[in-house]
Amino acid sequence: MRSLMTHAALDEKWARFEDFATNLLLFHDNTSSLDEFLVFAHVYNQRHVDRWIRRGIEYCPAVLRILMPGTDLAFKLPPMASSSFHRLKRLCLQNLDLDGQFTHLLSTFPVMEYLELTLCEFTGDCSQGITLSTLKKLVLDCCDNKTSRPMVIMAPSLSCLNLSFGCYLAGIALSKMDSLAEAMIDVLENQTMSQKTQRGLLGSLFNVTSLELSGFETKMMNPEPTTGHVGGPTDAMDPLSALPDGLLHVIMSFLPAPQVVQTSLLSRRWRCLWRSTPCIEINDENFGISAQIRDGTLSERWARFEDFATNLLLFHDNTSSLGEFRLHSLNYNFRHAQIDITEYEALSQKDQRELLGSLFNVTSLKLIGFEEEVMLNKNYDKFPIFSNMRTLCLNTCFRNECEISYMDLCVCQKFFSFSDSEWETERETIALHREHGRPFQCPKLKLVEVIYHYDHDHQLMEFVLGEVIKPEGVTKMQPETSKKPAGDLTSPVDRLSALPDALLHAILSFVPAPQAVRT
Amino acid sequence: MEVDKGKGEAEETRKVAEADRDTVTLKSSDGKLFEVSKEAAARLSTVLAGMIAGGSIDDNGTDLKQIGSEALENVVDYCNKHANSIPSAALISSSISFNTAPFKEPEEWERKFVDRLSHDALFDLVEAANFLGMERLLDVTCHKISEMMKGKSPDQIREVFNIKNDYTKEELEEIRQELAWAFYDD
Repeated sequence: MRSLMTHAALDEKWARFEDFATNLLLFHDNTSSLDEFLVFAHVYNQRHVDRWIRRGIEYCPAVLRILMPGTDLAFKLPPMASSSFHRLKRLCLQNLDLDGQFTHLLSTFPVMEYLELTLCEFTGDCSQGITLSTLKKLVLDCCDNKTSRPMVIMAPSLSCLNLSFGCYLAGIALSKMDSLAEAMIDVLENQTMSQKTQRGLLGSLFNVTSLELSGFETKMMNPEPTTGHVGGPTDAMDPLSALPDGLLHVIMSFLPAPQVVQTSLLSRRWRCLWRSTPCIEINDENFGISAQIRDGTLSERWARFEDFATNLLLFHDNTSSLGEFRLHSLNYNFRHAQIDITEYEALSQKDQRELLGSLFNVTSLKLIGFEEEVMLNKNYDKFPIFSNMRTLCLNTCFRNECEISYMDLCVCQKFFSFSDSEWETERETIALHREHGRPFQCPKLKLVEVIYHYDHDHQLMEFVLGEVIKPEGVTKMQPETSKKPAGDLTSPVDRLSALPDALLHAILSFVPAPQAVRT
Repeated sequence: MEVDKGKGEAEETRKVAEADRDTVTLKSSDGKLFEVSKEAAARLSTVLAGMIAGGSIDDNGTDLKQIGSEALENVVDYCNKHANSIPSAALISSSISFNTAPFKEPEEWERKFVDRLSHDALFDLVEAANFLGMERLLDVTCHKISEMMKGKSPDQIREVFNIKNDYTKEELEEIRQELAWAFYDD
């Protein structure tokens, strides 16, 4: 139960409030076991508030919160008998003036565990400090120590310290912080704490396992890592675990993604390895999703696949500097079963976009059966710019009217496209070459590999080569039936790129009926 | 292909001969010598290519202290087989796509090559390939290891590779809960 008193500024309202509060406290008869007592008042009549507090404290609350927002005059705590605090576990004070008496008062709280002081001022010319042997969590937010003596915090059971901003001109000292595990310290830039104080503060945090610092000026020295067995091979290991991380990552890159994650269970050595793999492959085949499935289990499978993919990307540490990302998804097939699974399609496209969004740094991207538009130009803010992309590999992607734009693939060096369908149907949809009359810019492109099954009227060749080399080059393009390695097209001038150093090799291989194009 | 250490005159003559020969001699950690074609070594190993280009190849046997004789024998064996399996001209002309394309499945002979290796030999070879910067061999051997793991439960993998489970039961359960999304039964 809880007694809550709030305030109103107007006189009569205040009077009513006062009447209510006083009556409430008077007639409340649960004197011995009040759990929480909260006073929330813009100070209007200090005398009244004093009284309520004193009365409220006599209920021996376990939680006491005195919040005095927006007062210009600092509110002082009334004299209180320490015997009332034998049950107090949590104390929250806001905007209070704490004098020497408070320090004394604190030391009498026998079971205090949580202390939160916000916007409080320490005044009076006596030593200030918080000495509480049972305190577990301490929050000091924007407090101001106006005394000329340092603030001394001695709390041997303290496990969490949150110290933000505030002004401690005379310094702040933590002692006996043996069990402190978590510390968050924000320091204002404006020199409210001397560098020596900052250093001293840090020095007393030797036991923390979690530390968040901001605005610090003192240099951090971290002499030795404290983690014990995590990571790194040791001598006594089996030959597999003894391999360096890099090699294990190579091995993991050949495994299906769920199994990569499952390696966590092998031993401590493997616990976090999967999080740092430079290669992620997400394949819906691992979840039994295939074109053949038309029954009701598909939705379930897809849900599981989606859950997995999202989790994998969420908990993988390395998505911002991933080396390779392979996504196999048979959404393409969903399209052909439109009536049944339209909803998945919508879901998956969003999913696809999200997946891509987290991969802005990949250097190699291979998409199979992808439907989401890949927009790589800067005008499209929904999509990331793959500024580090080196290799782009597309397989049976973009069946519909999607337009692919490679406007700013400026560092892409290799581009592969595989299609197992008739090119003709796709021809007009892939706008690989240009947009708005501008040639697409890919000055570092070195290799284009387009593999497909059918080439009706050699449209593809014209399409690709027509953009790549000068018009007279196209006329030279005559398909040969000899089965020779695909020729390299080294074109001295091309429209593909305005840059003179651009070099483009186009390798066309036609899978079922190999035709080599040689120039 | 193992060559006994020559001494005195024999070594002198070999030295002279070696300048013209297109092989390099490699020395394992336990002092055994192996010869491998310079072309294959340079093509398959970035480290050896660098050493050949930089002239730091020792005619008396370039010391490879990190590699035992068994692993080095396998390395050399692989180089020779690789040279034999693909006509070198074709390999060079297709080298662009060979290097740039995503990993290609091991070829039949590569499969056989790693299949006959014992566990220890396989891991030694992985390390040797890593040390010598032999990307393809590394891929093939790592692929082999992944094949041995594929489709197996963590328990089975532990058994195959003799991995010691240093988790407590509670920890194991905790991880399993944490990563429940990655465990599925089909």
